[in-house]
Amino acid sequence: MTLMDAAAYEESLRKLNLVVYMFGERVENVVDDPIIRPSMEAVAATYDLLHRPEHEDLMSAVSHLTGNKINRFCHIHQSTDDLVKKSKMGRLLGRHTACCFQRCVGMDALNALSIVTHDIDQKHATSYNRRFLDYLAYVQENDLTCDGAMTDPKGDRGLPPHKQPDPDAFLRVVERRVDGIVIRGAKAHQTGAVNSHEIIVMPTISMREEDADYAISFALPSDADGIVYIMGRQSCDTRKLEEGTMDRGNVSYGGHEALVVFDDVFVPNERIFMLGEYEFAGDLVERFASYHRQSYACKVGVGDVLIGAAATAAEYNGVARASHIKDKLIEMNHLNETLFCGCIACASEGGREPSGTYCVNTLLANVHKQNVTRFPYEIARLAQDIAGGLMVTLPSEADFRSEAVGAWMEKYFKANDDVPTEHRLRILRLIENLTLGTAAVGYLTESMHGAGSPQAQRIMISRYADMAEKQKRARKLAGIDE
Amino acid sequence: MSENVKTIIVKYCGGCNPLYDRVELVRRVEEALSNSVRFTPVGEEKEGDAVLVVSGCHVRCAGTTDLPLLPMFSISSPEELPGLIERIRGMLEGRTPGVMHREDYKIDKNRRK
Repeated sequence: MTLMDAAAYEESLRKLNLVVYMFGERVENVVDDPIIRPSMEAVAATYDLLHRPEHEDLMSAVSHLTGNKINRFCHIHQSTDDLVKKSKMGRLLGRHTACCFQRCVGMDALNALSIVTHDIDQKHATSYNRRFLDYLAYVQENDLTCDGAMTDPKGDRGLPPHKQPDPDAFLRVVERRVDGIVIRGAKAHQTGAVNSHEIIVMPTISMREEDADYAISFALPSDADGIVYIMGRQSCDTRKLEEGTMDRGNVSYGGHEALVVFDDVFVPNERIFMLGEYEFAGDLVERFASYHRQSYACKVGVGDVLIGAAATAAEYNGVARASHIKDKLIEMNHLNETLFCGCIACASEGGREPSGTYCVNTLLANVHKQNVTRFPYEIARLAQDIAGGLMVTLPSEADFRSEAVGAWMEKYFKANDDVPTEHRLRILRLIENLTLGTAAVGYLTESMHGAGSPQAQRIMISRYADMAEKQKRARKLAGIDE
Repeated sequence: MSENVKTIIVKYCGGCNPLYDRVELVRRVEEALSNSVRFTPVGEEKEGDAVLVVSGCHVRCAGTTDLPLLPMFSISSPEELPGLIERIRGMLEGRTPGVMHREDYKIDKNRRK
């Protein structure tokens, strides 16, 4: 049993042979690439914090398979307490890194599959759950980071998979062999893909019989033959190539996304968890989405950092005592803690599935994520309001260090006399990073579209809100006889 | 280190949103009781004289099922620090008032909620 620390995790990544492209060229050393490395550091924090006594209670869990202590990211939830701790772990890590730490998606895929493989077996007398549990034991034993890959490119959104002009718009089976299948397609927006040891693939939408070749789920090593990663760009990403750290905003951590191409990749039978059971594709999507909507607890932690940065900027600017500043900080906290309420509530109100896995309350998880599509934007707006325009007009760190003009920056960007000018500039860069720089990918747009765009949650809220009961109760209290 | 030094096993909550620096607080307790107690994280050592559960807020969500069956102290805010030090001193001097047992912790935790 190996519980990796940050150094062991980094070393494990060096053993992978990933095919990664960025700016049109193959990345030969993924771990040390200056643009990718901060995202690796963020995942490494999920290993590091487990070994700190002051965080172990959230970061570790007891495996229901072996009774061993494991990283919570490899755990199958065995109680609502586990679900609550997952939410709290998200806040902890969001606050620790101020970015996406990438590892929740794999945990959510594992938990969703623990439920759905069991349900498929019950109907079809298959043995997917046994395969899955063997795979889970492998993941737990080796303390692996898994990418949970759901989102297909989807082509024409008005057409189902089998009617797409390009049949590869959804990932599919192109060949069936005695010992496995060959698949082709892609998964988009894959957070943390090149920091993962494994990639767990799931279908992206509900499917019908005609789409059976698309109703597949499986897991592969992230460096399996035929898998190619094309790194996504983030605004301000090349600042990581510059001298100094100030203009990065966050000096330690970051996130990344990639388009993952599966170019006729072989999947052995023992790694297949769904193959053609199209009627369960929607269930798997729904389970995964519910868990993953809960996972946006991380944004509360990132919000903690942004609120702290805004309050610090106010102090540095000399306006901390202004009543409107205080009120804006109250509003930011109100919004942030409302998000925390949602992720705790959907966990506390979770329940046990037939497989034994505990799942979040679907309605509340969707309500929580719907709030996440909105509140971080308002928190970011208020942070920018407090920070002031210098956040986006500030010259570079190179200018600040320059003999020619640095003194003028020191002179004219000085505010509170007790605060070094560099501190003021650094906190403004952090707010810039979180609200429109590399971290805004995670804090804002990912909050909007990650784990499903806003309309996806509204559909689920519509489906799960018991309107008939509400109307019945209203009629009764109004004295309407039925 | 003296043979009379007592070992207190420390269990922290996970620290999702702590209202104070829990590690610093334990350091202060250790400083106040220097040469009398030493703190060790849960899991590192099986043998000990007592357990200290350190919670970052009054929710007190730290799991206690993995703790050895020993006299228990708990703290969830810096304001409780003087009382905690006094209770530990009481243990060192052979008095036991204020030492909490597992069921007391659960009752106290629920009362706080």
